[in-house]
Amino acid sequence: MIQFILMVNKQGQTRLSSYYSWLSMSERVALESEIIRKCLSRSELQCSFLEFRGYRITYRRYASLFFIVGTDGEEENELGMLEFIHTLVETLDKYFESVCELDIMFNLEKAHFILDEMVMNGMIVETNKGNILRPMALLARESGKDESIFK
Amino acid sequence: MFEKSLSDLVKGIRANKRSPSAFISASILECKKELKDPNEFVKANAIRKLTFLRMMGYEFSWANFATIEVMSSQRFGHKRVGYLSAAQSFNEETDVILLTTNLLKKEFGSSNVYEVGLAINCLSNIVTPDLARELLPDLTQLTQHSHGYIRKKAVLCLFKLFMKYPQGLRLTFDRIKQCLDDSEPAVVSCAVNVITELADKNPKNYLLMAPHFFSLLTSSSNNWMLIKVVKLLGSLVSEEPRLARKLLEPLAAIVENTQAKSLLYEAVYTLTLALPFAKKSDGSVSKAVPGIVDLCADKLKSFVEELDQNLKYLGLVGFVSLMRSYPKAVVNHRNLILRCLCDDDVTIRSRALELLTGMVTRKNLQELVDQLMQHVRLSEGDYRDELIQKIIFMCSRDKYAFLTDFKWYISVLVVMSRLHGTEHGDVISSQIMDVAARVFPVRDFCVGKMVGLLLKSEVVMGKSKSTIWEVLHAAAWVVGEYSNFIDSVDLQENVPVSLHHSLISVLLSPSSLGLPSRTQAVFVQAAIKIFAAACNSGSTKPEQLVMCLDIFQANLTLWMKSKDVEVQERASSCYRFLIVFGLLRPTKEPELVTLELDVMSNQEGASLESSKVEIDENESPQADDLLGLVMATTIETPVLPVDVDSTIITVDNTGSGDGSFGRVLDTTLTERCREHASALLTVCVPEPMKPVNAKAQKRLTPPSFHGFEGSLRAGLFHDLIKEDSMVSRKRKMTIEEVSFGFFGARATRSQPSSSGTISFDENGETSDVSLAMSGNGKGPTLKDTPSQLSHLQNISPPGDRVDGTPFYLTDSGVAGGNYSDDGDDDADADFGEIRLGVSDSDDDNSREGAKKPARGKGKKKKSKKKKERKTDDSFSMREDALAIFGGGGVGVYRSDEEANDDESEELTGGRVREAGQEFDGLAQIDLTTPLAPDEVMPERKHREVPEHSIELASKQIKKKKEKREKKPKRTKAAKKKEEEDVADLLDFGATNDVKVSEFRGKEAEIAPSALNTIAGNLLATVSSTMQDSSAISLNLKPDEMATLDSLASEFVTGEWTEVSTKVKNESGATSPIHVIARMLNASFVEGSISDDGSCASLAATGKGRKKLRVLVKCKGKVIKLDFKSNSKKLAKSASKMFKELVL
Repeated sequence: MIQFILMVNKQGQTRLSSYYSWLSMSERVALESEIIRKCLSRSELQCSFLEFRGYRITYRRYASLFFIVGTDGEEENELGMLEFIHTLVETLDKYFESVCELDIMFNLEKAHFILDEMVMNGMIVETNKGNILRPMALLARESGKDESIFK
Repeated sequence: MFEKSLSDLVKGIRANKRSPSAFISASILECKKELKDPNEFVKANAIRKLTFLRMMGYEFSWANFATIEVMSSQRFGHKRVGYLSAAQSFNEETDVILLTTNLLKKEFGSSNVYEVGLAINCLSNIVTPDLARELLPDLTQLTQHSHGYIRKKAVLCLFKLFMKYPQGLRLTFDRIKQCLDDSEPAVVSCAVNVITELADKNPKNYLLMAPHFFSLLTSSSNNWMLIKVVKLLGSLVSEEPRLARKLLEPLAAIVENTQAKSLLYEAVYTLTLALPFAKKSDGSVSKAVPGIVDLCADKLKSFVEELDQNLKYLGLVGFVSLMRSYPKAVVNHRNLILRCLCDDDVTIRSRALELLTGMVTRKNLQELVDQLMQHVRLSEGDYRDELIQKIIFMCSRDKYAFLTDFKWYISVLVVMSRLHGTEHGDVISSQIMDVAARVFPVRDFCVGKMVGLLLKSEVVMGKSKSTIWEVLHAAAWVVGEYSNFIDSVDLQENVPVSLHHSLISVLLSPSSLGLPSRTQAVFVQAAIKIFAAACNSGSTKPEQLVMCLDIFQANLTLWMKSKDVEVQERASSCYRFLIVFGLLRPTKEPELVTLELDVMSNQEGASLESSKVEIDENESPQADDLLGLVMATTIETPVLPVDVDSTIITVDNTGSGDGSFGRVLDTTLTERCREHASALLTVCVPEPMKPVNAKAQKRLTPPSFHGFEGSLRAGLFHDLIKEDSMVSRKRKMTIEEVSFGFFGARATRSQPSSSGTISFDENGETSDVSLAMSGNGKGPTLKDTPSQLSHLQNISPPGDRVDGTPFYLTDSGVAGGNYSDDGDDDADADFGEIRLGVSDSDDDNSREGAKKPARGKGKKKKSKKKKERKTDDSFSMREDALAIFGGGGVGVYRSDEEANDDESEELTGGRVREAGQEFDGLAQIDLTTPLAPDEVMPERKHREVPEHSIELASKQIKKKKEKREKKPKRTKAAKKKEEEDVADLLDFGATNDVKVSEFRGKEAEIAPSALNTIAGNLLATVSSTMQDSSAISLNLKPDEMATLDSLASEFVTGEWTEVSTKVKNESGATSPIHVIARMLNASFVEGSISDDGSCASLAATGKGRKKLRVLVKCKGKVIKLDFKSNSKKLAKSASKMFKELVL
């Protein structure tokens, strides 16, 4: 099972975090900072897997953003996780049209929504980009109504 | 609108890069205010901002209620913000979670699938045991939703519910099974996902489904799902070895054909897991196996050879798994793996290391370790620690089974001990001690090495701490314990006086005081042992001995001032001891003397006569009292109250003899040394260790002299002192005078303040008493070996140490392998005490297992059975309770699977992890037994209806109706809607699809009995027939249970209107219910019907929380309808509508 998904930038700032088992805030902060430190210390030439506090971390870097997936034990296929990260990035890319860190920050709940469409309680539920983004159409319609008031 | 939007917040934080916290706290305050705003847009916006801030590590439990408010908003956009916030922040302790129950229930019934999806997603994140119990029926219904989108989410969410509410698994597992045949591949994939997770907790349950997965394996082309299926089958293998044989070929086919690396890896990995089980019952393997092993090894090799680090890593992981079953296949790739040790990536190196550790044989151990040692030199940090740990493990595993040359091993250990800052000092030091103690042939070699270590330890204690202090501890012990070998040590370099002298000077040098006290204590002890050896050795010259003594004289007092009790005590003992033998003279030492006070003051009374008198003629009379001193110091505690005045006086007296001592006594001293050499040796250097198992040790009765009954045996000291003709005390002491605090009657008098004079003898001779005490007090403190207890009694010459007990190993480099076998019980029994650290704990386990195969396992099994029975009982009791209380309360689980877990863990090679606590319950659930009739969906049961006739019931109802002149609150909207067409009774409007399903024959899964419970409430008289569970349930929208449930609750809480009406039944049909149901144009209708179709209850729900319950009774051509509703108007209009009805 996937325990958490993080998007952290090179400065160690979390841009998106989704936990599938409950951790207290202090644990989360500590975990995130330690993981990103580990990820940053690794070069491109090193493999994308880490073992850390019983989690198996799979990470991948896109531009300045690290996509980090933490799974417990040996229950997930590491390569599968890498592929999942790639699918996630592609999906975000498709939706935001060449996604960047700011897109995720400014549209946090949309990014979350996309992620939630892909992963539910730690299990991958959908990997088809079309299927993932279909609810986003509804979202767009709805937010078309809302947006004016939010602004 | 002046509120900040999320973008403003983000921009603001970025603009205030220097001190974002001030900006953030201001923003948080704003949000707090905004949450109180009645405008839901403002509120949602605030929650949205808080979600962002939460991501940055702030916590807002105060926003939880507002979150729920936003969740219940009508707008999808707001809802989404609320649900997201809830999913991110709620946990089991969040109290407001209770409020979400009804909200989620409502949401599950929404016509908008995305709203339902949102709710399911949120539930999976925030589920608590209560929520799980409440919502399980609803969610189960959703797995049959017409949209695949909902179905797949619902299936996944079920897993989370099971985790919190394990009983649910039994109730709903059939539903998940059905999802495996779903038309939509995503749903199937999700179901596989869930079962994979479940199988991880308790594989047994899913064995029966193996054929199903097997067909998926061969037919499906969805790689995501195939990975899961392969994993799932892999986890089942441990339960059903026959499956392993069947799996080999299809998996091999996947390995050969698939393009996807992830699937390829998964298949290979699962093959490596399955291979150990592929043996047939007669032990033979099928022909295909060698080919498959080769295939795996080949594929893994190609992974490792890849440039991609990820594949390299996975290849190594696969090799580790393969090694468990076919180590030979891995050994062929040794060089490849060795190359990985040079990789840049620590993760890869660690994996390679793990592999190498498993590849050790007697032949290649030295070669491997030598190579690893090269890496040790080059590496640093955690990785080096790991290397060292592995090297020690490789060498020492299975009681040094692979080690042939202990000398080489000691050299390796010495090299490792010189490394900077490793964490394995303890292990290295215990290894050195262990080898020295157990491998007799290399003992001299070991002593030589250790002498070298100690002599170079100036480096250690000086600036660059290149040796780990724990190792010094071991070195000092080895050198001290086996000091008889010092003579044979041949150091390359020259030492100033003699080796003994150099060692003692190093051990007692003031700089050693910088070491940890544990080590200091051993140092003091080792020093005196070495001195004893020096006295005994024929090669030491007199002046060398004197020089040694000079060191004691000069430095011991420093040690006696140590803050550490142990060091102080040992140093004092040592000091006094040497004085007793006349080898040292007491020095001017104020702090020390304070301790001796009582004895000093006791000089006149205690006329101890010692042989030393003749030597110490020119000393002050205080010297006579030397023995007294010894006794006192060993007996008394350092914190004794002191009388300073008398101290000073005695000190002065003592000081008068200064100076002459050394000069005059040079020759006599050495003579004395020689004279006491054997005594020194016997006292200081213990007999060879006879390790006793810790358990056996407990059974050992303590040596008699430990008891204080009867006449006391003074033991060794007695003899020693008799030899010195010291025992000549005339004066008898009374028992009251004897104390642990100090010694001597005078002292008692002069020190009234000292409390706690404990008498311990009734009629024993005083001298005996005192001697025994000194024996007791001194013996153990002087010794540093586990054999303290017995060594005073039987002392054997230190020469013959290999006494045939398997504790002692031989160095096969010298004497050929004479290792103790694992199965050797005696060895085990003798093994006790000595700990080897990592490796030994393994030893213990295996030994434990080998030792008591019959007794231990039998017991285990028995207790397991007992446990199982217990759990069974408790489980069935739980089931009963469930039926009675409608599933209230999750039972407490005993983890009876623990034992099984252990076993399977071994078998699957660690794949089965230790299940987290929340899974304990889940692993308990056994799906193989059929559902008991009383196992029903959790259901709120609100009241017990006593049995009485329909007439009575209806009368009562009428009465109630009259009594309760309730006026339900009506909103404007409701009023308006009531004026609408009667047919649209429940305000569902034109948009609603009428969902009244046909009666179905057996809709049994959804627990007909549960429906019956509701029906039973209403149809009190027929309840007995209806409880037979043969009733047909009608209804089939996912939400039926929820509505029934909530309906029932509202029914109880009051505000219901009841109206009855009669309908003509022209045809005389017995089941007109569906007609009526259809007429209730509501969002959905549900109900149950009795056996003969003459009675039925229907419940319908519309929008606006309007509920209608219809009780239908058929009697020939008359149908009686009782309506109940939470809206008076609705009940009336319904009855009106049906009044005209003719069937």
